[in-house]
Amino acid sequence: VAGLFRCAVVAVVLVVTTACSASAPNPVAGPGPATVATPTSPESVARADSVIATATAPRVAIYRTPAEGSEPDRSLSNPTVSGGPLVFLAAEPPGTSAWLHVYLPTRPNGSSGWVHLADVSLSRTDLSLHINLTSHRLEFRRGANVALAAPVGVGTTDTPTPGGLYYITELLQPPDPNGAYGPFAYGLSGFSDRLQTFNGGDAVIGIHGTNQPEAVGHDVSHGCLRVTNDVIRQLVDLLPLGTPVSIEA
Amino acid sequence: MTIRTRLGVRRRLVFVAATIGLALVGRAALAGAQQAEPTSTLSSSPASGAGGSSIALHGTCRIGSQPATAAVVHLTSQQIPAGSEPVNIFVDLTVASDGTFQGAIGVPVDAPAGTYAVSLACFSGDQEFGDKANPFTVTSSAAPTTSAPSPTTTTTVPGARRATPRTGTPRFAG
Repeated sequence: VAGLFRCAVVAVVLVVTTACSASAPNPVAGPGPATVATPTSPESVARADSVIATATAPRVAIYRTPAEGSEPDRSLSNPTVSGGPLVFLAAEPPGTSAWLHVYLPTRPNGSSGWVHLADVSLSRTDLSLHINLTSHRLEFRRGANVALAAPVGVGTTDTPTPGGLYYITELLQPPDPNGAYGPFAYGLSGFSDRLQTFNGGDAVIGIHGTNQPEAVGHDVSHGCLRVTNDVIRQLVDLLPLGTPVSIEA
Repeated sequence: MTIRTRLGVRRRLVFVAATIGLALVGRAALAGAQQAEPTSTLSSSPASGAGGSSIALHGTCRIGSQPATAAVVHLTSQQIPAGSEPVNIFVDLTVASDGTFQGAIGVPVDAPAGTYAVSLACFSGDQEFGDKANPFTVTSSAAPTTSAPSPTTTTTVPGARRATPRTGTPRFAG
């Protein structure tokens, strides 16, 4: 009889444990650590909207922590060295303080820091790009809805496209629309992990058109993401600077 | 009754008490877990209006009995006429301690006639939940502004506009 009671107790404990774990609420993510080079997660891009910060000051100081009186870790020029406006993607929604936690367009990939809200103006977008390197698929999403899906060429085994959460930092229109970059090329906040420089630049990861459409959908690039010229033209009609780009390795 | 028999009865009583206690604890835990389900509602009115009008908003954002930390309502174009910029406006609304919110979102004066969506996203910290959406029809542009209920809006952040290309030679890792 005592054995039966023991079994009953064990059964009750199992039922309670299972039921609680099945009904547990989703954990609430707190703010991330206020340090440069915070690892990022592609899942964090799956939001209905993202906050974009565009620099309004000629230089924007970057801080490791949002503490009044602290010294900046570095500063970034506005316009950038390539001549475009300096933009950031907010790593967290703006709160009530005078600080904003942002992802940085600098090495190492996934860097983040804090800026003064007074140095930026805020805007929002519910648009995002999601790239799966394995399936060679690019999705343009409006909120959670996929509005466009297209094949994409990605980095080779020697020069792979790095996975992570990035954002669009610039949009260039090459002088020759029939060249290797096609009619338009977006620069991202990410960099090649294998190359320090490329073609005189910092080996920035880009999303661009191509004059080799047959290579789209394969492992062909030095890290950039290649889509057809028709797709890049559609994206240029829609995407703002600061649009989040999630690359799943 | 022998001492051995009395010990056996006592042991059984302890097991019965433990079983009942665990069952009660389990029931309370289940009730707590059910209360922690995220819930959201969004009411927007009217369902149509001219450019320049306001849409009154109210609803709820909570997880269990806990209010969300923010409610973001977004007005966006569902159809974009050629040559028009998409309408893309966000409003942050303060969520009261009971999980309710209210406010208003303005339809731009130059918003083209057509179908729009008024959508809600609730946030608890950085965690999003409870997306809802209602349709809204813009009947015509440049109508006079109508009065709206007193909003509890804390921040209005405009939608980002598409990037303007600059002519230049890319030096990306093509």
